[in-house]
Amino acid sequence: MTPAPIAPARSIEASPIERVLELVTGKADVRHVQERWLTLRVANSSLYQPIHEVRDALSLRVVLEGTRMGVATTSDLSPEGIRTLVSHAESFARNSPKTVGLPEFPSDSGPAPVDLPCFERKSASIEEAKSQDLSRAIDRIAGQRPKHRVAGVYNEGVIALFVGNTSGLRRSSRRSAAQASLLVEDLSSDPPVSGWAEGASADPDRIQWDSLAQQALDRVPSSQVRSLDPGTYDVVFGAPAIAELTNMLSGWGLGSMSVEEGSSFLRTGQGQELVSPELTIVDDPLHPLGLPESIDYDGTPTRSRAVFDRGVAQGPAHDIFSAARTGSHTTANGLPPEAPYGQYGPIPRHVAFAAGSAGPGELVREMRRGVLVTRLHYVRFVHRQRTIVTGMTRDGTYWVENGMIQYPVANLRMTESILGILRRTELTGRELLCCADERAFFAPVVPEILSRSVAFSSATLF
Amino acid sequence: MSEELLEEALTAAAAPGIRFADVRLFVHYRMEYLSLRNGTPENFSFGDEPGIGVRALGPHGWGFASTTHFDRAAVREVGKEAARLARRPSGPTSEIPFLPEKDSPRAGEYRTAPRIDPFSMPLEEKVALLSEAEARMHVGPEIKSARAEMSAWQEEKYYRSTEGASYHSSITHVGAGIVAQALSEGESQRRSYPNSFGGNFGQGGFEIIHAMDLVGQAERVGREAVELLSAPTAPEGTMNLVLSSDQLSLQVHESVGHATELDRVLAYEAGFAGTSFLQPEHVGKLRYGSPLMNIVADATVPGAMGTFGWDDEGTPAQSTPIVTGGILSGFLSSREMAARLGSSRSGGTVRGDGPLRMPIIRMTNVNLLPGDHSREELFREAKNGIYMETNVSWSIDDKRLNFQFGTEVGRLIENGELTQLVRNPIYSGMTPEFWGSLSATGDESTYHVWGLPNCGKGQPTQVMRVAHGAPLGLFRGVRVRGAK
Repeated sequence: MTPAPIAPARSIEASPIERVLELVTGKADVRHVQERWLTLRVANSSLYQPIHEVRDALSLRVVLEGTRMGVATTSDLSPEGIRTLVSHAESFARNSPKTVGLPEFPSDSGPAPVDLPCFERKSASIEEAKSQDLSRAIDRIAGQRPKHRVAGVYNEGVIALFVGNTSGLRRSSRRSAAQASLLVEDLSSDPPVSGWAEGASADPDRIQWDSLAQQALDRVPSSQVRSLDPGTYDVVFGAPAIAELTNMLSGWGLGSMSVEEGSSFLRTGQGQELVSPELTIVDDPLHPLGLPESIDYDGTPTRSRAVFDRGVAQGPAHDIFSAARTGSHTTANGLPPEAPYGQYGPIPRHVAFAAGSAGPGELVREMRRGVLVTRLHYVRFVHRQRTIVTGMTRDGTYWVENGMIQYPVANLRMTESILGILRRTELTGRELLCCADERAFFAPVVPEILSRSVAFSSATLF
Repeated sequence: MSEELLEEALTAAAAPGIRFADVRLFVHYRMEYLSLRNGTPENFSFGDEPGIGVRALGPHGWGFASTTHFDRAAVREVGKEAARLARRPSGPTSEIPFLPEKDSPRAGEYRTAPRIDPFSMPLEEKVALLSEAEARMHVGPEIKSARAEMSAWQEEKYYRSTEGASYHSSITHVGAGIVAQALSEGESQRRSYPNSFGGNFGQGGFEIIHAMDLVGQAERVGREAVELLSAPTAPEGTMNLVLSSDQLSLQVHESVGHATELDRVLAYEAGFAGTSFLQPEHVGKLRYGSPLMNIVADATVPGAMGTFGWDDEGTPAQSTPIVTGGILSGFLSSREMAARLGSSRSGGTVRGDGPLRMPIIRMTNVNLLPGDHSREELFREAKNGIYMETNVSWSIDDKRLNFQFGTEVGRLIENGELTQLVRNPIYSGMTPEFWGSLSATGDESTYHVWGLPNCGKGQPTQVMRVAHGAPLGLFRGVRVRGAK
């Protein structure tokens, strides 16, 4: 049996954090991130690019004289590498202009983080079994539907995060994450029609290829694509589409930085009913259906916090630095301080909707007439403050009439306000799905949603 | 030490049954980022994450393994792991085609020659320049946020393959930009220089940033952000559109660069990035645009972000015609994908995002070649319409057909002259029709190469630094409107 590759450390004592802090002359916090990932890509109905990735890196933030800050990272954990890391961070801090209001790093007092289960492979042979399961699922689709093409991905990883600072804080988390998606295309149709399924879980065994493959296959329509004029339609958004919109809102509208800059709707909208009062949306890094994280990158224990409480917008996400700047409290949404994360400030990455009441198929029945959108592609802001985005539908867009799916339609360009979609939400599904990215950074937990009068500005040819 | 590690990893990967293996060892993978916002440092960070990535091609498939651990035992394990994954029993049943690289010299070195090394120049000089540029953007109380930022990357890597190739590359990229955000009741507008999303980028040293004259441009940028607050919304209708060089470069990126990546064309990126409206048999036949459309993928352009000596599978840098006289003439390719197409040689466009990610087909410098119109002649020819500059929003479908772009500013063109400033302009279209409407391209004086540091593709996502040269371009009969 092939031994399992290098596993992340199990305790903070095995981390070089103390060696880093001993060398720092000012105040500092340091993160040690260890990640091990397996990725299996599927293309043209075959396992294509199996990838094994091990990352082991330190991120150091130094504050000198209480006013000057510098950040450095390294993957060289040797004594020389650590000396260079400290030297770089301190040099950057020394040459940084002064910043008023930098906070003290927090001490180890306060509530302890939740102890999360971590589902970890014990040997590479289990990974092989997983890839064989995936191969069998692909073969089954190919066997049943020879003119169908399968694409997709499976990611499985363990991430250990250790945080220490010069105020005595020492915290760690060890978590697992698995994420999978499958796209099945019927090439006998012109243009091809497709079905999509995805899922994510902290427990890799909860990713069931047979189930995902069946879901994707079931969603492949049997009729040809027809064109649909752009216009305003009622829409049932699938969970992956809602996840895409949620991530856009999280990244560009729900964090303190965008409020401070004036580009977020929260600058003027806090405390107002901005979305349907039927919707309660939280940021919950401990959600049981999500990919739980027990601490943020400042080392603060995570907790659930309302983002929209029965439609009313709550305050933005904070880390220890934005909280000090704005006179708030941290909401445990700190990111790694280095580029390319640090300049975005705190961001909620585990936004979760409260489950609604509608059972499977009920949203489509209730809509009566309109469009069912599975997924959205390349969503970008047209106007951030008004949360207007544009993006294409993808991998399954269907016309609904008399409360039933009639036929697939060519993909449409939606140009709409995210808040508008949520304000005009009439019904929410009771099933929630975690739609995470491949390295478990964003992990929203979302339902299907029925929203009225959604604007589509153009259509494409397939 | 590097030689020993390369040898250790390659020997471990070249196990029985492995047809080909290569190793990329990054002894440095540095990044420096400095940003100042409203007079205070926003992010001052330096990173160096060396590592090693090993790729192996087995009887029926690839395997790739990577690590940031740098001792002999770790790199040996990575080599063995790549081979294990490549020999897995659950791969495809047919052999993956792979072209040999026969024509390149077996050894060589490629090195950027920065005149001012951005990593060793005094930090206080960089900070002083950014501070002054940032301060000058605050032209009035409407400017709620002003940011000045710079980035520098340096990768020093060694490449070895079982074909005997041995290359050393040391590549330095830098870039910088400024952005002012103005705010009034219910309206927020921003203006950037020299481009949005971090500025402009090139291969070389800090001399590239000095040439931008950020300080000299800062007041104008602040003033234009304020002016946009009270500018009328862009008109709606079908009209002539003149695109600035920076916006046209992104149009090339999204509707030509990605569309001509052969792995997308052959459906190897279908699950995430998407496929393409192009088919292999379209080469030499499909009319992509008007006869004025000439596009090359040229990895040899001096000073550009997509320039290198060899790609990440040992193919030398080259220039490949992609669209010639408006007809599709080639694809961006790799040794595997070129073989699948029946070509005799790869176009040499394979790169990986650092040591940890598997190399895949990426853009190099995909350039729209200039035409013969001076700036004045081009606007005279447009006569009436709209001019758009500096991207703010971009979106395109997963086959690269239906697109919509928004820019920071628009200006009406009336009787061949630029007149009224308009805000939130958007244009949209379908790729071949849009390029078919190209009716004039600017001359060399309007041509500029833009570095783009954030091109995303692959699973897990890889971010690549690429570039695009583009002149001014006039397109007729384009759908335009303003975001309200």
